[in-house]
Amino acid sequence: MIRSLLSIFRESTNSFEGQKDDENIVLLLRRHPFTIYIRIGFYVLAFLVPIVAGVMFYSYLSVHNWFDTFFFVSSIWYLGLWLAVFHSLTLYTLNTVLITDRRIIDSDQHGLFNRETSELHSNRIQDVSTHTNGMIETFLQFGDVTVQTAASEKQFVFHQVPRPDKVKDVIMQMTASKHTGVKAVVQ
Amino acid sequence: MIYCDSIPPRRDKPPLAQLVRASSLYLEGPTFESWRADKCILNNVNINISQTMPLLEIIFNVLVIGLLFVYWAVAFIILYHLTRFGVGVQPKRFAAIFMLGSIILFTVTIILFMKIDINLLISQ
Repeated sequence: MIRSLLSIFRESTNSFEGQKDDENIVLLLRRHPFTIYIRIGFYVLAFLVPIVAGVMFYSYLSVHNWFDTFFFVSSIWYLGLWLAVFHSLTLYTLNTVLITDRRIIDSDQHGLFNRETSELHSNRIQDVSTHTNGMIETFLQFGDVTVQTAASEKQFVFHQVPRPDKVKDVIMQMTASKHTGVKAVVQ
Repeated sequence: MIYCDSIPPRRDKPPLAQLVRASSLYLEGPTFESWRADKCILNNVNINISQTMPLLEIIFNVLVIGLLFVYWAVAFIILYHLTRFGVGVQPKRFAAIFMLGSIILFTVTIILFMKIDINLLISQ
């Protein structure tokens, strides 16, 4: 039972809600981890606040014997911080782009109750372009991928995805295989 | 223990200086009677404070319990989102870590909450 419970944390073939029977996920994209590291860095600073405050006001706390209160307030602070960290991680994790052998599903999680999902079928893709902007994006190899659909429909932009060139190649392969009928082999 | 029954209760307010003297336990009077009178005034003052404490304590407790309830409500929403809408293994891992950390932090917070003496805070 424990083994089956732990199996959900092991790597497995991805699946998602609304997946067709013979539909396979080719790529699962999230924003580059660098984007979340910046926020985590801010939370690390916030983590230090009670420690710094405790050191600064140590004599004041010891005179009034307020250590219990201080520790309690600190624990509340850390609870809030824990919540904030995982709120950010949740939004980061749920912002996904799924590239399957049939379509592209872009899921944008703006807030916990603010979600936008767009879907684009492979046979409607016309043009794919990438945009890497700045030194950090160049060195860490992430950038935006823009997918232009047929007709004058809106563009699909996947922001700050890792290795945008590879993503572009995969999408183009998918599109080509859809048009030619030959199944693409993604490397 | 000081017995104050023999001293008739004052109808007028005690002078501020006497209150201050009593509260700081500074014995100005040379006799035991004056010290006892001061101590009795101090006892009255303490009784008046302690009568107001339960209300403040209740408010504090309700606030903390409300805060912890809100915490678990938001935690549930986050856990639900991670497990329900997450694609792949990463959201499940995050959910497990979040759940574990929440339980540990919550336990620590409850222990620290039990240790707090709100009366000490109010009296200071």
